[in-house]
Amino acid sequence: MKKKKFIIAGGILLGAFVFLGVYIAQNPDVFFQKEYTVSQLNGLVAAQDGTSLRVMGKLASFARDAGNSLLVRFVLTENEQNLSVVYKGALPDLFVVGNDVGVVGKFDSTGIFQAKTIITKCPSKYEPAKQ
Amino acid sequence: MAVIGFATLFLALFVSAFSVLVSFSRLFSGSRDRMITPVTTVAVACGLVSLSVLVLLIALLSHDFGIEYVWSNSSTDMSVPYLVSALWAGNEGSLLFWAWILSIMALVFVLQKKNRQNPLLPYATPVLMVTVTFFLLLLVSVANPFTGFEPPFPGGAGINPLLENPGMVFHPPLLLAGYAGFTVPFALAIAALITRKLDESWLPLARRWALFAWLLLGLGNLLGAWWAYVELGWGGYWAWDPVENSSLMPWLLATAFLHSMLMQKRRSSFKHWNIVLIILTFNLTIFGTFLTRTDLLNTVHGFGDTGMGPFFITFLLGTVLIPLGLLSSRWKLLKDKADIESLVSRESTFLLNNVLFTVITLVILLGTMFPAILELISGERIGVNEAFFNTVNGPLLLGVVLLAGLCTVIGWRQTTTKEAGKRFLLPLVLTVILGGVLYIAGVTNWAALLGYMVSAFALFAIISQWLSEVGAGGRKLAEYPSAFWRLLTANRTRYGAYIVHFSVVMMTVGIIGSSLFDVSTDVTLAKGESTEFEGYEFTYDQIGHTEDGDRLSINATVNVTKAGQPLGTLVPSKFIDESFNTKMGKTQFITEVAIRTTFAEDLYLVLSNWDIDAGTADFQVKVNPLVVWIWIGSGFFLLGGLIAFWPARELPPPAPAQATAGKKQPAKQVAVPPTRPTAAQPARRVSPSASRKKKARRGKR
Repeated sequence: MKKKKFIIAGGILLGAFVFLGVYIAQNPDVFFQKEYTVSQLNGLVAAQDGTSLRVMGKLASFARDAGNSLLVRFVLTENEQNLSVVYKGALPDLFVVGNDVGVVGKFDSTGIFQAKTIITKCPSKYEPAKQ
Repeated sequence: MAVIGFATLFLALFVSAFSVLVSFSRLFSGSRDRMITPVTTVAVACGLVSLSVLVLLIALLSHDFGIEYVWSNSSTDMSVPYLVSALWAGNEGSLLFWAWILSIMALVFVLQKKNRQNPLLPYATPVLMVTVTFFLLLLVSVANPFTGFEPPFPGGAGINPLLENPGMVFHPPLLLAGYAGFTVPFALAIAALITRKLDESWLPLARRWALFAWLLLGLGNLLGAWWAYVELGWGGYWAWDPVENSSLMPWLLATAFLHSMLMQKRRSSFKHWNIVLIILTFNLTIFGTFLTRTDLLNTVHGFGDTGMGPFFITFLLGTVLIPLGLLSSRWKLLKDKADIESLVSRESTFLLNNVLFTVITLVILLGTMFPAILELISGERIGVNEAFFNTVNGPLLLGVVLLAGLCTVIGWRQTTTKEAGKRFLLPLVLTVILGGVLYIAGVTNWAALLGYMVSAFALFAIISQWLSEVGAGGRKLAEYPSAFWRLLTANRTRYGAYIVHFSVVMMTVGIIGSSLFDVSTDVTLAKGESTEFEGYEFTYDQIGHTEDGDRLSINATVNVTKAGQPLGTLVPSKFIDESFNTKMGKTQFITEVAIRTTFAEDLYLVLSNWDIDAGTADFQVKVNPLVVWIWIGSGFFLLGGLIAFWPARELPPPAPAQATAGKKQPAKQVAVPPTRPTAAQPARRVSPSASRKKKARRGKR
């Protein structure tokens, strides 16, 4: 009897976890993205099928749209390859030319990367320096 | 200068390694009753490490740029508080700081009078000294803070002005001290395993140090969250970044330990849990540091860049495998005396609590490590979003809060349904009423409604428990405050825990509100133009600049009204630090957000861009509901933690006030079982044997 109750309680917990797992597995785009560097990406056609991606590179240049200053166009570069990105919204402080910048988003039909999120790194000096 | 610093470090390494060697030789020669580690070696090692910290501090304050660390982490432009905080601003310095705090803790540990008779002390001390030795080894080899070099340009590189915030002064040392602090309970656990004294005897001292470290680490994390919120310009306080995760994971396991150990103290159960939890807590502090200080998470191929990797891996293997060996040979000795008797009992809720905290930690570990593991296996990388951590940990957090409420009302051992029902009834009814009110008021998001109701239940449960304890023995309302104070001072552990639970409920409410209902928009406004958002009306008034030395600040003035009522002027701004930008060859602006805080919501205004010619400015407007409750909760967290940690008066026993508090409610003591196991532990006021008897009696009831 006692054991039965514990098994039921454990079962409910386990069930909740399975439910959560299934939910995550069914909406992978919300939780995970495949991550590429700019140069890895350019060799891949499969990556441009409209799924959400994460791309890492160095910020080479950026400019605000003349008509709408909230719209930013920028170029990420890595290993002598470039990626054109469009983003709308406020930019983080570390969005500075020469810094490592990551973007999460997807390609539009014209082959331009539409970024939804910009990722910059914490400026602390605990991590090893790049060589 | 650098030579002196390095020489003292080297000597310190020699002394602490000598201390370890002496300990081992004595251990193996079987001299069991003597102090194994010579106290002098601990003291000398601590003195030497302190000296090298002093040397580095002087080098920082006197701008000795011939030292690479000083040049990289400070500059002639920095004020004294930031020059001091440069001590922990970089990799080498922070490891030195860690070693320093740890050596001080080791010294305090061996010198404390009440520890002298502790049979675990001789075995715990060498464990501490091994850890000190490990850090010193790192410092003299791959992470030497005193490496000399030829500065590329004068004046020092300095830290990013983005980091110049009081957060930089307090957040890193709190975390580092917290990490270091977990070494002591770990050492005690190892000592208990070696000596086979696996009863409750290792717990009181381990609890004290674990609580201390837990409090420091918790505060450090909360301060970091606040710093990210007010300074970094993104309006978020937690981003599930690997660095954040690695400071949260040991804290979570330590939380589980602090709860779980109560079961062992009172019931001699959960012995396996406790010893494993504290060992893993310590391992995670080292593992987290390893993760974030090597390039492992960015790319597996960059592994071992700093040369620290092999050191950390060796130390980690040692601190995992040796305890594992000890555990397996003593597993049977750790057998619990009593099995869990009933599903609805204190034991089962504590077990569930352990499970929840462990699962949360595992989820975070998995989410953090997943990209690196996958890359290792398949060569592909994936990024894990904040959504993953939030979605999985959200329900688990609610589970923890629900447990805090349930534990407050569930008694020890078997609770009859009737008994439990009685105590559940009031909080439950109030919660349902509140849920109804919230629903009618427009909270129709089921996740939020559930979250609020769970929080409310925990809150009502804690308050009703308080009231019933304070009001016991038919006290009048006017006597409540003094009775509350007496109870609090007499049962610090229990009331400290109540207050911490109370603070967690507040923070949970803040987290739910700000993560489910935050809204944000970006607007471009011309001078004099207005816009409306979430009931607020914003009018962009003007833009100006102020200068302070090398810093040029651009300030926008925005007038805010709500329903026609003026709420005042907000001045979001951005500044540039000319000297930093020149040095780095970059143009970096630093955002200073303007925040208007109320108990209901924060209005968070960012100046994102401006165009002087066109006369326009871009703003990001965020409305973050209930955020302030996270910071208020943090205050209560500190208060509760301090109350629980505050040393109880030693013998002779109770002051008159405490005695009367006890006398006034004898009926209460029998009728309602103490909700915190430690309530049965006025052990520090009574003699140890008496408390044990009392415990035994309670256990039989």
